[in-house]
Amino acid sequence: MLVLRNVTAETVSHGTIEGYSIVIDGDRIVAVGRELAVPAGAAVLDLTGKVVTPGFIDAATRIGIHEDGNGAIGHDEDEATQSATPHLRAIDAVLPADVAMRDARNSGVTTCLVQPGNANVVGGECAIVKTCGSAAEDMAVNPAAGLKLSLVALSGRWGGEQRERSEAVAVLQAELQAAREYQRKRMEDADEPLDLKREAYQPILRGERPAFVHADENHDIDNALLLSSQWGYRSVIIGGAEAHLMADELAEAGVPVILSPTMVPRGADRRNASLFTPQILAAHGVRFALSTDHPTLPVRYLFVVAATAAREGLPVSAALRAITLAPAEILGIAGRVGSIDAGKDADLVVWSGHPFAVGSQVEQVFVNGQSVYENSAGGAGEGR
Amino acid sequence: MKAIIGATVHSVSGPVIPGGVVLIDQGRIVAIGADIPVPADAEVTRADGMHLIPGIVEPHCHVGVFDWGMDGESGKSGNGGLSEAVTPALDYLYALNPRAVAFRDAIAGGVTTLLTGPGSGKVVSGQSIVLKTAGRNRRSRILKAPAGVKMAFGENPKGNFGRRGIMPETRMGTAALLRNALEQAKNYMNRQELASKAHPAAGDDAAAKPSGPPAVDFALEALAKVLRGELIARVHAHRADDIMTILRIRDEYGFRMTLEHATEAYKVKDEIARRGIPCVTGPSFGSRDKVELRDETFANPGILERAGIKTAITTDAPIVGIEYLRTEASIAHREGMSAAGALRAITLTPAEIIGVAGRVGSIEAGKDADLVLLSDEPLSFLSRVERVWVDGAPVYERSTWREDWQKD
Repeated sequence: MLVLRNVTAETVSHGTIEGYSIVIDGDRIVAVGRELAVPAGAAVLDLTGKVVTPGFIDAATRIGIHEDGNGAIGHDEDEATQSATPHLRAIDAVLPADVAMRDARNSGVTTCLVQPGNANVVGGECAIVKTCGSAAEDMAVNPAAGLKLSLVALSGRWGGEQRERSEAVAVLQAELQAAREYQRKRMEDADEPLDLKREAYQPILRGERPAFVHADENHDIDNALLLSSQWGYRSVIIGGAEAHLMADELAEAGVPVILSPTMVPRGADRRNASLFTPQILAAHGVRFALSTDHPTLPVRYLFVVAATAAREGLPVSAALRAITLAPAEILGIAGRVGSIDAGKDADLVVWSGHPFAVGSQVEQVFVNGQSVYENSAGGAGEGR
Repeated sequence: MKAIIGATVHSVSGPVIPGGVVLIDQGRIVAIGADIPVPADAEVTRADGMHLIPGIVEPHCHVGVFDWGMDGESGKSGNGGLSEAVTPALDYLYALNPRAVAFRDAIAGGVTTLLTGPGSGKVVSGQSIVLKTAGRNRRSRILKAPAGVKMAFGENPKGNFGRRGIMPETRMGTAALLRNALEQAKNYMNRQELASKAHPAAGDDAAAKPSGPPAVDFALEALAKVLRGELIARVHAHRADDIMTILRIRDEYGFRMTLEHATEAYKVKDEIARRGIPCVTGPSFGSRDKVELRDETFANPGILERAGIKTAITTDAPIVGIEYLRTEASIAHREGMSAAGALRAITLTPAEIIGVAGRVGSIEAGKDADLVLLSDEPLSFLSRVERVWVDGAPVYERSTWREDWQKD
């Protein structure tokens, strides 16, 4: 048992509290409060003057499946040989030793959604992993978090050809229709053989898991909303370069958005990406999270994405929420991570100051109650 | 006459002045200080509580030349045709679209001067230009053209050429191509020199005359300017071994050069410092997509600073959005660079490296009135760009600025 004492806690769920204590037992936070008695036999870490945040959550990445520094041989996110590959699973390609995993946890990012890429229409099953571990299945918070779809015309290039938006929609409609017919046959005929591809659509058609739909331009987002309501599956938009132009529609549909960072260059489909998108979505009541879309922006700069949103007008607390509790809720894992509360996983980051303050350093990181990084120098780490 | 009054003035070249005054006339800074009398007819901007810095200078990008399908040479890679790997004659002034959207991003991010030019797909790709990000037209915005010859080592030229059966397929091939081109330029210069010395006196026998000056070759002219020190070689190199190879060639031929990206410069910092080679570092904000970026770290600029190397920071836009140059300086500071050094690394240092420090890069009397007013300390992640002036003209005001999507 370990007690982090006298911290300034950015709890996210219940505000900023000074002189806070956090009690860790095993892999969980078991108690939090200002006037906590130290349990007998517990180790105590006095962190006076330090800020503690929940581990950050990067809600859209290709970490571990687009390996850092290994070149094309380590790029495993796009199975563009076929237009739809719903039976692929990101968890099967996650490399725990990807240096980006080290970067993630050392910069306070402890949980990531790993999504197949955007080259084909149905990329495969997304996984949610912690950024520490030696085997993907042990790191998984949810190895089957939802199906990755992509409606973005620019990146469509399956079967060795550049593709168009209307082709992407046609592929998706045909796939969903086939999946429905397959399910009907399975219900009617016990001898109908299992088909991994058709089977992969059933959780989203039954509403058990969301579809993570990459859509950037306003008409891509509109297409995503239309298809989602026509076929009756839940959508989460990833990308959202023009989400601010669709804020009313997104709010009305109750569809959340995981925004890609504005640091990425404005390709033709991101022409209207705006620094003001987070606050516009907030004002319209659209649920959103901020992401790096790693490797588009390296995962270690998730804090910069949030700080930039705060710089442009999103309240600091909302910006912090957008990389902690908000993504946890959108990804359906808020029971485990995203805030400093008793009962949640002990994923905690000790900072020398507020994470957005210019000179702040990550001093220690806990994942599942284990200390996984300690910046003993107390200063900037070389080679991070 | 214009006056900006009350801001904390970070001149970069001198001490920080709290509650300072900056006077602007005819597009130039005419005075800076704490107790400057303000003429009664001056147009005054009150900036109490805010911070004033020089216009930010981006020393390496491709804005207006290529932007992944949007602007400039639309859809082009910035490398030109890939039939040969040495094309020093290409002048990227002619590729430049001065109305590219990225120039608006630059202004909104406080970047007022930039060097733009060819990519790194060839061993020698062509000539860069330096220009302002705002102004009437392309000609009036140019500060320096040409502004260096771009060269590249490592993965990019190899990847573009070798697999198609054209040299270079190897790092050896890249080095050999450059040496060969420089040697040809040297021979060309020698023949020019010989021809100029051999002015035949009137009545001399024509047969005694040497073969005359060589036919004008624009590629060799460009490299001759590099060898004469008139144009700087801007050499793309990531890995330490690539850095050492170009330093070796530079030692052999004796030209002025910069290291661009300089990703592993921290591993060979003494070799670079000893030769006085400036480094344009980054974009460490980008991903380690290539193997040669494996050991990339934002600690690099701080380490180089402590080694006494003139160190600037780049976005390499469109690799990273041009408006994030100041954010990169903030991260470099978080990773160990001094605050003063990090601000200098995006203003005066790049201005010196790209050869325009007489005009821009610091707030000094006589320099162009390129100024950026910030809501907070220059390196704060929460500090916003409030106003920007280029040549004394207001080009950005946060409260009235409209992004493209907000225009009617």
